[in-house]
Amino acid sequence: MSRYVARRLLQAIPLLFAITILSFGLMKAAPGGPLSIYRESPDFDPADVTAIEEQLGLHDPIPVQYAKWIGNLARLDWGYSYVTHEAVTDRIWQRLPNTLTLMATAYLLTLLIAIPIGVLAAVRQYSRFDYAATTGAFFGISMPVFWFGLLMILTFAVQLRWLPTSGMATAGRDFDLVDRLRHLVMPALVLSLVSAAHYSRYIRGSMLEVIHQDYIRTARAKGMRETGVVMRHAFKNAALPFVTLLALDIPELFTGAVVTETIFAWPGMGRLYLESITRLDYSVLMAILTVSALLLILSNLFADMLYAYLDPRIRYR
Amino acid sequence: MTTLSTERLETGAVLARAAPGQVRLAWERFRRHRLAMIGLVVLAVLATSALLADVVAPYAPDIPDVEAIRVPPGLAHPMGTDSIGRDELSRLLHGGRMATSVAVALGTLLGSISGYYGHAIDNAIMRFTDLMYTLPRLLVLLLVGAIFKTTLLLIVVLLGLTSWMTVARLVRASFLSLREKEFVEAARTVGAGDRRIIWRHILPNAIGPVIVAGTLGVAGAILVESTLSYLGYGVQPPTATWGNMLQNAQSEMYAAPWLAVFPGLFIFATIMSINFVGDGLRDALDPRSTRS
Repeated sequence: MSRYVARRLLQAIPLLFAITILSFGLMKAAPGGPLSIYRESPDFDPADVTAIEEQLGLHDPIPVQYAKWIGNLARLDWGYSYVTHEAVTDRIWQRLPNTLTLMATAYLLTLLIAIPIGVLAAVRQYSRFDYAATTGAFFGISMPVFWFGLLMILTFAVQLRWLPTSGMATAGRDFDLVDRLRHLVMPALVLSLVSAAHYSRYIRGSMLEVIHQDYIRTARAKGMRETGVVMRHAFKNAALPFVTLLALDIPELFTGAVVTETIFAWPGMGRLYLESITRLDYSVLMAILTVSALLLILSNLFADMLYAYLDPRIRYR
Repeated sequence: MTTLSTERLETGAVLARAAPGQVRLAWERFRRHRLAMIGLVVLAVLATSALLADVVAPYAPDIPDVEAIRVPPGLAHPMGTDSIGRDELSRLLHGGRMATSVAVALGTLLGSISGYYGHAIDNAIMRFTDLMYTLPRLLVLLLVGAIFKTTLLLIVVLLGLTSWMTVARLVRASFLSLREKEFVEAARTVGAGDRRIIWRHILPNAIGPVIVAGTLGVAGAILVESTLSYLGYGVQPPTATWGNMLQNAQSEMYAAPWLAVFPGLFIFATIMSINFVGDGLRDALDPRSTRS
């Protein structure tokens, strides 16, 4: 096992290099740069802008710039934002808690919705409940997130006026939990309903596979109550592949949800990424891309290890 | 699920596939899936009206009409007009071209990839698949969309580049397992060459899940395209796409709420139909499926 993990980690190194080189090259191929808006402003002398760019090393050959970037990264220095001049880590720390609040709530809601629905739909296969769950899942899977968000705002904020349209808090008010929750409801619901649609199908599938196994019949034969059979024996085994699926979603806790955060103006990591794109804030973009790629690799590995740990029949070489 | 098949069933499947009328059999099974048939009809109607948008659309898609600004849905404008008086329905019909081209181009691409993988299974290519899987897809697509002038061609290429991996892996996996099966050995024993084994014996058995994955991949690509356009990094206005038509809908929500409803409804209907068709194909192409 440890040899397997070591090999996977070694394979990750060239992958990370490839990804960072690719994104770095892409970004540098773009016309303009973080300072180009000053060039159009009458308050600045274009010659000064060029001089500052020169000073920041933005005119160096791209491989040199990349080498500098990766060299700094080796000392865990992510650099400074070209737009706000704050340290990239500060920029990220400002946004990360917001994204974690949103994503963790959505995660929890997803599980609370998807698990009971998936299990019940499998236990009562072909029942009316199963058909309703299947239809609902098809709706959720086919729903474009941004449209779902717009419809929610249209219904609950514009028409019914129950909830605020966007943002994280009412402007000018001190932090207040009820207010925060009122802002959190819609984005968290949009995220969780869509992913619950996917997950409930998955749980239903693996429950159906397990429920016809011999040991389930044995459990029933020894007189166990049906809820016990379903929860203790069936669900525990059916949850195996599901747990690894959850592990694969870990990177999203960091990257956030670009679309949902945009619709609801939630100041999280997804928004930060989009804002940095419009200004070509290289250092922030590179940090977000690199960390998400790293998290993707690690969560993949983690999922595989978790699977082998939970199911002793699986061996990796 | 499907991996738990017995050899006997597998051989039976091969015999059935070798028989003429194999496609007809699948079609018979597909036709019995009511939702899949509905999906197919909806897709056919949407694609046809998108292709014939110039003829079918009641108005020109990009000519403003100052006398008809923000007209709610009614007789003259079935889906209303936007803030500069363009007919929403006409724009939606034209916008359908984008989704149709994405679907057709991507389908062709995924198809040729699976064909190609039938021949070459290469370690280097699988490493490249790993790389593509590790890319944070939406983040990279947004970056590229922001940097380069986004044209329809570029978007289709990008979507293709970032969505072929699942199909490729699926083909590879089923080829790896199928080529060890007895029926392949049997075919080889009676003197069948590589090409015949690949096309006649392995591909028909591997193609079911690939077609299904490809279908769902197309649905995913349409969804990603509309997301990019919605965020403003896809095909740029004035060219109408379903995604970029929703871009201004949010700020218009109080004045013209219908603008937020119809484009999404078109995307939703398309994706839903494709998913139903995919479901129908799964049942029709998998002879081991229990529903008959």
